[in-house]
Amino acid sequence: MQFLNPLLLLGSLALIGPILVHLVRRETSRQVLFSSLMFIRRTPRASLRKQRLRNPLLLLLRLAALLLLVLAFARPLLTDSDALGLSGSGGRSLVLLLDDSFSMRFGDRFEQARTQVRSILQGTSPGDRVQLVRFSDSTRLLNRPEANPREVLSLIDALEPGFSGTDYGPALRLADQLLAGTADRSPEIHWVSDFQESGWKPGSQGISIDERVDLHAYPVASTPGTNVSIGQVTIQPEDRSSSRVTITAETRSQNLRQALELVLALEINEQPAGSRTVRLGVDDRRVVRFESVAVPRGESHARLDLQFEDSLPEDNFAYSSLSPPPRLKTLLLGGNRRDHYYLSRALTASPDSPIDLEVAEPGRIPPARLSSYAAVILNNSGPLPAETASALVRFVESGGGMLLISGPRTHADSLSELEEILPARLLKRYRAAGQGEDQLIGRLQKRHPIFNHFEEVHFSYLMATPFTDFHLVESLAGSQVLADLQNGSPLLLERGLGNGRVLLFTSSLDRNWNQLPLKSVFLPFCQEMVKYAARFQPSPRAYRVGERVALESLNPQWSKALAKLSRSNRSYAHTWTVVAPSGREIPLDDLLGGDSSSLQLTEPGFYRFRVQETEHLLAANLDPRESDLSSPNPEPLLAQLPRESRQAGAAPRQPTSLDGRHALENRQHLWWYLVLTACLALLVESLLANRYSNGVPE
Amino acid sequence: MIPQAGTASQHSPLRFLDPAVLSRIGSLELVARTVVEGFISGLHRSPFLGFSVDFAQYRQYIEGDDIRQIDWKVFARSDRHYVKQYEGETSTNVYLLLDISGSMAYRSDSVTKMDYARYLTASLAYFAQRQRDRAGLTTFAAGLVDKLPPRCRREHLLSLLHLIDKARAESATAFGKPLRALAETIRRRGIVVLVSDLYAPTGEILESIRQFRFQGNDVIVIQILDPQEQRFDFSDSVQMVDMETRRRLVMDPALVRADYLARLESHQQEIRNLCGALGVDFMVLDTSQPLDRALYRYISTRQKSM
Repeated sequence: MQFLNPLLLLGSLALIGPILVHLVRRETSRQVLFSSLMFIRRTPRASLRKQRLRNPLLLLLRLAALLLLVLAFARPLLTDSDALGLSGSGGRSLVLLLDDSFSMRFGDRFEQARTQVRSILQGTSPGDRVQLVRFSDSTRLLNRPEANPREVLSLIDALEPGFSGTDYGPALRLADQLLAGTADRSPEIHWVSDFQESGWKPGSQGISIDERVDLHAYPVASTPGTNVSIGQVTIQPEDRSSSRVTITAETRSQNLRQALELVLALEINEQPAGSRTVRLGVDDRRVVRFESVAVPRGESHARLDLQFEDSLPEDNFAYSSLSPPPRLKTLLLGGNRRDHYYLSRALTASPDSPIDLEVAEPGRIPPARLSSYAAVILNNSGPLPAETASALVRFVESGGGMLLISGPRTHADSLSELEEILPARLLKRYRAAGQGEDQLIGRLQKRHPIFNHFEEVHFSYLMATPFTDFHLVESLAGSQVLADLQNGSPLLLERGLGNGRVLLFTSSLDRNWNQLPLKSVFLPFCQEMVKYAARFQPSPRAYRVGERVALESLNPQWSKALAKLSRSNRSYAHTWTVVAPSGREIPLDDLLGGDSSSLQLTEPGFYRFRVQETEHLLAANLDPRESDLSSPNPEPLLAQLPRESRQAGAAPRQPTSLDGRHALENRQHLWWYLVLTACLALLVESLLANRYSNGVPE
Repeated sequence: MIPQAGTASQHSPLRFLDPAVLSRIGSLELVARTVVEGFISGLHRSPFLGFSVDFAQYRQYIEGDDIRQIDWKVFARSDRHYVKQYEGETSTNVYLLLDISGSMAYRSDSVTKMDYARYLTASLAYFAQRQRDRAGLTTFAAGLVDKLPPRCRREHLLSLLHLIDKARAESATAFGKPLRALAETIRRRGIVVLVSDLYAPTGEILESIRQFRFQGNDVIVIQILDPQEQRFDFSDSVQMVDMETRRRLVMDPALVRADYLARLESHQQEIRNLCGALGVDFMVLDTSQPLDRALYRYISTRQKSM
């Protein structure tokens, strides 16, 4: 038996509690005056000690309940050997890995795979144990080892290939875990797949199989497949309003008998919007562009159709949303036009910038209007009107983002009214007295969300920028330094206040105090700071089948409605309808499980969300790598698979990966039974305790 | 002949014999009168029976008196019913021996054994005075505490009740020395009533009783026990403190209960057997019982002694 949270087993120390309580209760026995002790013989000490357990059943029940609760919180899981008592009996232990990814839909690949699995099952003897695992980009164990081959056969008949991508790593890891601890059995993995190369993901590195395991591969694609498909699709807005876009699609062909001219048709909102002819060679890739495509107002979506009849028609389509991406409404306060010339250009110049910038003087913006912005930038700001300062504090406390940029007009006194939300207190201005006195960036949190999209070249520009002037600051409690200068003075700090966030840049964002605006890193740096401060999360135009999408990320306004639904208040259920591309309505329970509401995408096309009166479409595309139908010989691949020597007869190796153990634990749900048993024990304990306390007079 | 007793139900006069009720009455004389008069009124016949050739006095007939005792000549003369009383009925000495050792202070309910013994002794004294017996009182614990010789006068009864009232439970119990001292002073045989919890070695108790018996006295031994002493059903581990010796003992009552009850029973059985051999009345009363049982036994012994 293993535990997901073994540290919680320390909770079993609490068992001492009831025992101590019983002992202490007995030690501090009441003093009773009695007429005469002439008829009472002195009780031997041993008897007294024994007597301390006068209600052993009660004590046992209490201890049992406590122990069961501790075990439940530790989340136990039974490994194969525990659950099945695989301690003897010889025979073989087989794990059948069956690939049901999208590529297996090609031709009769999946039927071949089914036939192969049936054939393996027919070759098993009664003492063998068989476990069937289906895998694509996720992995699922379909039966317990005690199931007989006939049951496994019926499972195979019910399986159909899906639309997901392929990932061999988790499947092999699970198979290895399932065979761990079968020291006295002959372990075998039978792997039935088309063995696409794309199934080897970077995460598959480091997988190893026990060297005792016989690994058999059954490639099911004997003939190379002929297929055309649409690969990557990009939507590039031509202007900030996204009223016109350029659509670029990659078309691919594989194993065509001859070069073909195919039509790529574009539909917008289910209406034809143009087509292009593309000439594809036998094994070819061509990029097709639809330029200056007019996008209707409101929610719009596009479908591309590469018109050709092949055995894998689903990958001839691509889906995308054309709706304008959400905008980040930002207010820039303070300074003059010269101060924020570079900053405002950096935030708005690129067409793909989501930032809508409005510039105002601090005294001229009504405080009530602040709530309509997602972020406020205070750039080189002098003293703020008291009303504006308190409105800014409220703005941040209610979840807004603020970026405060230092400058010549910024003083400690001018920001005193914002001190309760600032990450640091300004002390004095640092001026480099001469050459060599300027400061470069010393340390930088490269994995921070502001910087984690940067390329190395960006970092090199950023780190090589000299800062001649900046404010020395004293960090305040709750703040975090994201970048500092060589002399240790913080350059960029952040502080979170509930959902609100404040960033402080202690130098300026013009050319007076540093030369950063002249570097190419300036634009992404400014944009990422504002996005981070405002917690801006752009949603992609299309998702990948197999992904799990958090519903709140699709529309932040749904969060309240989802919260209502999550509280089991199903009176709102009728306002929610989610329909899969195939027309299947997705039950709300599938959306509301777990901590957050999410949707697992299982098929390509448009998922339709009808929430109250509005409709929202979510585009899901196939993994383009699944359209590559080349089937390499698996033998070299298997030969490269690392094998590890594990001592035969040693204690069963337990699942080491957290995912594997989580998967096992989720299937077993032992904690639930433990909690139930603990509740029963506590119920009986209550009844008994009541009976004792009522029945025995003091 | 022993009169029949009623039950001590809520509406019976015998309810006044309930110790819990009596404990609310402040005056011991009133307690004694309540007990005795209530007891008498609950009887079908008067307990004051007797026959002797020595006429003592006339007494007005009261309900329950045997009509054969009515002096019809007096009735013819005065048109009133009188009964004759004889010297033999009032000449008995009653020696009340009250144990006031520390163990008598125990109680598990509202009445201590001491209180119960006090009511009982007072009632017996009142009853004796009522039928012109001479009642005396001796209180003892480790030694002789107080002693009042038998007298018949009303003032004597008040002194006796006062002595009972002021008696407080104290020290250990010793039967030998105080009772021997009492026995030496008895010149006229009578009825000796020993009221105690008898928490002493049986040999010592019986040696004392034997002295009284050899002097020709009728002896009634009344053991007063608390219900808890007879059940011993404490529920949890306790540290018990002996009320006489202050000895302490940590124990689990459940573990010692059976042994305790067996030893108590054995102690009582030994006393019962030896009392039987000596012709001594032995009775056990617990403090939750009405006092009438003791009064019946006294009447019975009183009649035997005549």
